[in-house]
Amino acid sequence: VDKEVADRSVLLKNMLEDVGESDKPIPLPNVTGKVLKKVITYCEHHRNDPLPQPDDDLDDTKRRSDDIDDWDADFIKVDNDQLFELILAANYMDIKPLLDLGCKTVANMIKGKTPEQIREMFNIENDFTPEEEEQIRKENEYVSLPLDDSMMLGGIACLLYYSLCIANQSGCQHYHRWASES
Amino acid sequence: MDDLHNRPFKRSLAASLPPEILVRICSQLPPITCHSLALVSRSWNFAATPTLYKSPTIISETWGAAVKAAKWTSLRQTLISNPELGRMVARLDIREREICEAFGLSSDGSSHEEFVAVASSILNATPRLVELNFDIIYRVSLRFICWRSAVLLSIPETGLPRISRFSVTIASRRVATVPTGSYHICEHWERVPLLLPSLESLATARCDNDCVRSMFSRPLPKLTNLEIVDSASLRLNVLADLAHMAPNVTRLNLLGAAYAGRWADQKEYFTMLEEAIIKMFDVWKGLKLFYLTPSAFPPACVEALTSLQHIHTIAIGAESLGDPEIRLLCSRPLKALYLHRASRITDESLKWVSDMVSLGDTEVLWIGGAHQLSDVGIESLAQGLGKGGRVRILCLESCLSLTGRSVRALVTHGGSWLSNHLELLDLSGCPEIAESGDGGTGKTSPLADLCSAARNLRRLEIMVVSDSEVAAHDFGEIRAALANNGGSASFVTVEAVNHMGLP
Repeated sequence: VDKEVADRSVLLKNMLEDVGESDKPIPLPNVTGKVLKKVITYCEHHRNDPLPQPDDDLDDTKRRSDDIDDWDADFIKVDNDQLFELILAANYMDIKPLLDLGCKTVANMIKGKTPEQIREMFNIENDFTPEEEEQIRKENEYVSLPLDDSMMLGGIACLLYYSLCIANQSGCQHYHRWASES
Repeated sequence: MDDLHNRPFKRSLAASLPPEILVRICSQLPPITCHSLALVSRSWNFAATPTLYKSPTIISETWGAAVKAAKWTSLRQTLISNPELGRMVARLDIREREICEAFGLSSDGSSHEEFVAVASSILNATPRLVELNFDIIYRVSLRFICWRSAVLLSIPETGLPRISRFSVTIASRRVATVPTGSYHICEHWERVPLLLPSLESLATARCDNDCVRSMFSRPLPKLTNLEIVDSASLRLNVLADLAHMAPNVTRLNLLGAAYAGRWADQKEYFTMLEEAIIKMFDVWKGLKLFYLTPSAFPPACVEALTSLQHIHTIAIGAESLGDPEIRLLCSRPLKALYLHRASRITDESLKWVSDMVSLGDTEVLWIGGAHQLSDVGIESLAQGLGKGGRVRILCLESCLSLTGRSVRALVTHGGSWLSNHLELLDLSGCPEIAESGDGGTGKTSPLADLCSAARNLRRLEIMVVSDSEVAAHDFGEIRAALANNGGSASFVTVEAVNHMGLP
């Protein structure tokens, strides 16, 4: 691997600086060959990108999960196992852009899901007691409260209208148009 | 991809991700999803909760009063009953109107003390706050915020020592309806350095001299960002005399401050302004950003301004500045240069501006009211931009003499700057430009050509002052060109002063 490519990893960059010019292999005990291959593909593609600044991590406003470019989106189309292995490898090898890409991808997968759906998707065990779960729900109620009374009323109105449409056997198209407009 | 990712997998790698990765994932998510994550498992809860409470905002124009009330009540209750969560809060937006609505208080100012009680109970429950933004209804509120909150509500005399960013918006759009003279914004402003000794950023509006004197009655050694806007009656010499109280200011925004119109003797005003500015620059040598408009910046101070070692953003009233001063201003690469009412500058100035932008550091170039500029000057500017310019925002508003030739020059010489960098072009108040096409006789209007070439253009401001068919045709062409612009038509807006009902 070219030094320029290896330098995308802060871990490797530091190691190379420590050992100097050498043909000796550098051990990466926490990364499997398959994942390493994938990591190298990423680093090769991004070899000319500017290196991330240390302050980038501190700026929350720069964090967006919807700014993944086409090549990266295609690159990260892997199964869940490999996705998490890539994240762990990026974390271990200190490749921030790849770590960000992995985290953004996981964030996008999680968006809009309920706790049950997230547990199921990632095979995570619920280790809360029912009392603890209830307490967390209560504490975080300010986030989870219903959206708006007017929206709720709108929803109720939609349901009523939908019921009427079914009753009339003819109004479904009207319902869909009305619902999308409202 | 969704199907691929949605398949459950056998091992639970996700359950064993280290906390720093979980935190990174959570930071990408909206609060409602973090709430879901907090309920997944203990390890995910550990990562999601700080994100959930770092900046608990309850701001949405679409939420009804009942929802906001329930959310505020719930948040306050949680913060008070669980100090651990309260300690996670780093940033808060407190809007008086919302709080009043939420807790059934009158928002006409009469329930002020109750509002402060509620706001202060939230503040007391969030001891690690570093950024606090108040949006309060009436000016009189400041007295309560800075005074009552300390005295009545047991905030210790040491104040809120961690607060580093504090901004006050006073009835942003309603302040004009408050009878002037009824309230004293300066009242108890001396509490600011006492209550907020770690202040790094202070943003205020409509301050007068007494207010500034109070604000700097004690040192604010950490203050780096100071904004005193819309304060026409402020005398800069008062501020200059107190500059040493906050010696580390690097960003100074005085938009709408120290307005000449408030002075009977204009000569005296300019003498004061000169002396004050020189004195300020002498203390605030580290200034990176300096805004002072619409006050006319004294020509004698330009040298002092450009000799500030770190200055990169300048916005000044330029009605007294001529070509020599512009040459001096452009002698260093600026990130942003705003020249308002630049009525004295000529095409000569644009040669210096052109040289500066060609270096590639300048992102914003704003030259307004430059009546003497002609197409020749813009041609020279366009050549500089084409050589390596990276200007994203170009404003030439109210440069009355510019015609389609200027636009054509930007297209001809702009090259990769035009196709890659230009995002906003403001040609409002340039009546000759929008009508420079030939009304559909074969040749497209220069603006339409420009819109086609500028792939990243997001906003174009022009002025259409005619109901002629020629103008209507050109305007249609421009819209069409923008609409075809790299698929980003939905982001493009054309704001036209449309006197005659054109489309």
